[in-house]
Amino acid sequence: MELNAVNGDFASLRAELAKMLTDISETLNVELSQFEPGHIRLLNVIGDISKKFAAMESLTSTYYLEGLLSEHTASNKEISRAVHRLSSKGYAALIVIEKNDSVLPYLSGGTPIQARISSQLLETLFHPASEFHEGAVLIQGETIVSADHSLPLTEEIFWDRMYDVRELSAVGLTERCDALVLLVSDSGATSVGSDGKLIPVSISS
Amino acid sequence: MECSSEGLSEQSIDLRSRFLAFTDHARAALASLNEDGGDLLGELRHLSKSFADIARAASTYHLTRLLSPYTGKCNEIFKAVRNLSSTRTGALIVIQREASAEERMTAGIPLGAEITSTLLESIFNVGSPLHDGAVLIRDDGIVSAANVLPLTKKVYRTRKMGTRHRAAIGLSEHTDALVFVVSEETGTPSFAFDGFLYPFYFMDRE
Repeated sequence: MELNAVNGDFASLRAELAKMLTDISETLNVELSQFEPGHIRLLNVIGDISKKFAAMESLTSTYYLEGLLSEHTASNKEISRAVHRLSSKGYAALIVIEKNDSVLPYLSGGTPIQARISSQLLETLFHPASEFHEGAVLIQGETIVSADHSLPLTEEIFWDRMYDVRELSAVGLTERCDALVLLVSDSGATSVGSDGKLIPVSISS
Repeated sequence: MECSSEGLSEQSIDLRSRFLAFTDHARAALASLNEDGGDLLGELRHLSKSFADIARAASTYHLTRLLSPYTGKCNEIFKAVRNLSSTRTGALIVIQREASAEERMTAGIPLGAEITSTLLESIFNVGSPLHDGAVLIRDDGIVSAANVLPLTKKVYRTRKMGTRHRAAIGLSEHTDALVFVVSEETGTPSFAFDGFLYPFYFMDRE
């Protein structure tokens, strides 16, 4: 899966990013023209620019995420909002969104929820004090069907680094069916599992 | 990285040239933004990482400049702030420079301990009897903990300013001390100096 293959109007995203980057460049040029080694104020300028980069990241990853999700559910904005909030709080999460193949044969455990999708409910399910926070949530269409599922792990061996159970689960399930898996790690890095692959959608990872 | 003032002027020149290189990098990225195709997120990730490197260098440069004449333990202090930040533990650490900081605060518990990052982290653990208040560092020692600092009376319209940050800014208005503060809510580390608050970007390893 190529992220850039996501549907949507990339021209408007590009234009917005270009505008933000131009702002950053202009600020930097002004600072460089009056650069003094003792000017500690520079740190605040750096802080503002870092915030702009964070905004650019958030804009882009929201764009990708909503585009990907829109093929599966009309609640794409709600889910993407939940993922961003969970990521900024550093709460790990694992969300399975069913597409054409039935995913139930691959899931074990689980507690029925049968609720409408809201970012608040998703954040509640993955709050570290929640009974369900270690398992995966299953979404079908516009419904949070159940929570606290275990997914099949992949048997692939990754040599580049240690993969945690959530990552192995996301790869494992998407090897077996066409579901989409959203993953937020403890560090707040977010990625999307699809077709047996994990693709990062955040910059900070 | 050693905590000394040696090579500081080279560092500031290096900082300037890194900024210049970054503006070139940003210009190239801007040009490629206007073309179709390419890995948008990857490009952005690359750019933002290289800016974060500069941010860390700038932050380390200024902190070393301000602290190294007064304590030989800045690396130990940086390490503590970094760890407290990653566990989102609220913290307030005063490093005295020329002027006496004790006169400006309500005394807490005297310690007279050596500076280690582990002791600093233990002090700020929620539930520790010493966690509420500020640690005072002078030269290479932890003088005291649970000190109460004067709050700034400044009005901040653009951002929410909690008591801990107000205390850090407040003390730095009255003395030339440098005050590290870690937000309990977000874990964001910053420092107050001369009445202003600055972000602290730490090195991944010292």
